[in-house]
Amino acid sequence: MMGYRLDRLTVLVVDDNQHMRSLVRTILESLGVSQIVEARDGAHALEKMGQTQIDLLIIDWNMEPMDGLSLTRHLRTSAESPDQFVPVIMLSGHTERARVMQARDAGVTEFMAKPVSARSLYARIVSIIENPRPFVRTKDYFGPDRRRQMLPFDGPDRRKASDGGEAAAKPGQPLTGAQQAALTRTKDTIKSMQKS
Amino acid sequence: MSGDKPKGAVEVIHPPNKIKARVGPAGKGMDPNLLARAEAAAAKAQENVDFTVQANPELAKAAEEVSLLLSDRENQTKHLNNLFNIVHDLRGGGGNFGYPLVTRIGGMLCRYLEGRSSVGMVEVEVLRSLVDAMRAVVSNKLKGDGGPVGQELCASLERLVG
Repeated sequence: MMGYRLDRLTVLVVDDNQHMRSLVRTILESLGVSQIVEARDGAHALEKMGQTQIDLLIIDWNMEPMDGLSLTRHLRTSAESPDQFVPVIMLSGHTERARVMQARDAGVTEFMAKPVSARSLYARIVSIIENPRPFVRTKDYFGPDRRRQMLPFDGPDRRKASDGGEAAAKPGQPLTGAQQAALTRTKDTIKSMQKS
Repeated sequence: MSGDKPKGAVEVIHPPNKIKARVGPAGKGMDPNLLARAEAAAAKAQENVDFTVQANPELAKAAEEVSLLLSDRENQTKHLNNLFNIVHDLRGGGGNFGYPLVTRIGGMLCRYLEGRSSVGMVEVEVLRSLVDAMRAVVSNKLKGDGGPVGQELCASLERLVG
């Protein structure tokens, strides 16, 4: 069976970590993508988009001076956006639901939690090809229709928005007995690791 | 491009599927052979990266930020943000480059910080333990699940942060 001609795509990979860019590039090349442009942050990405027609962006969240959220917002809403509809896959170490929602509200097309894998990246590219989302414009939002749920991952890190967070945020609360015991145990384990 | 008539304040736009037009109509779903090739290439690329080279100086910076939480209280919010960002990046890279324990412990730290704009001595001690644990994992090159020591470390940290 003939597959999609991914070699016809030009993909922009935006990450301040060179190892991560290199890994994403390796995966893309293995999938057949031959035109890969790299940028180290959001501002650099916009510069690259001024030079080359980009079909798809794969972007990190945490970058300076312009992070992935700001870049996405700029692409979706700025009058100077090079392409308001360009698909954006956000790659992030963030896995908390509130963060995923934040990315969604900035206008990302797909969210992907690190660690990145060939399967998850390929799946998202295929999803963008086969299931394009309509765009929605409201008073407060412009971007892909947010009604399709973005599920970042199924790993053990997954937690509900109601876990921890604000409720646990009062500073100076003493540790419980069990927590104190766990702290002592942790310190002992670290000490033994330092000796070995 | 097609646009539905605004319903109330909502406009729905169906932009042309430029990517589909570019990659052609032939494919459907993921090609298993292509996926296997990409997975093999990714595994090889991951092996070639020594994560500790990036992690060691970043963890030293994280430890410094933890110390500043009490010694530079006026700027505590800034130090909490710095700490979060450093650990967030390590958490992202750990799983990809052979150190899932860094991802796991880094995840605990990030969750612990969520919603906290100020911390006291108790929280600083917890944060210090989390950073020290990541440093111990990296300096002992505890790859993969870290064996019994790594598992014990994570179990006690999980009890600590709840």
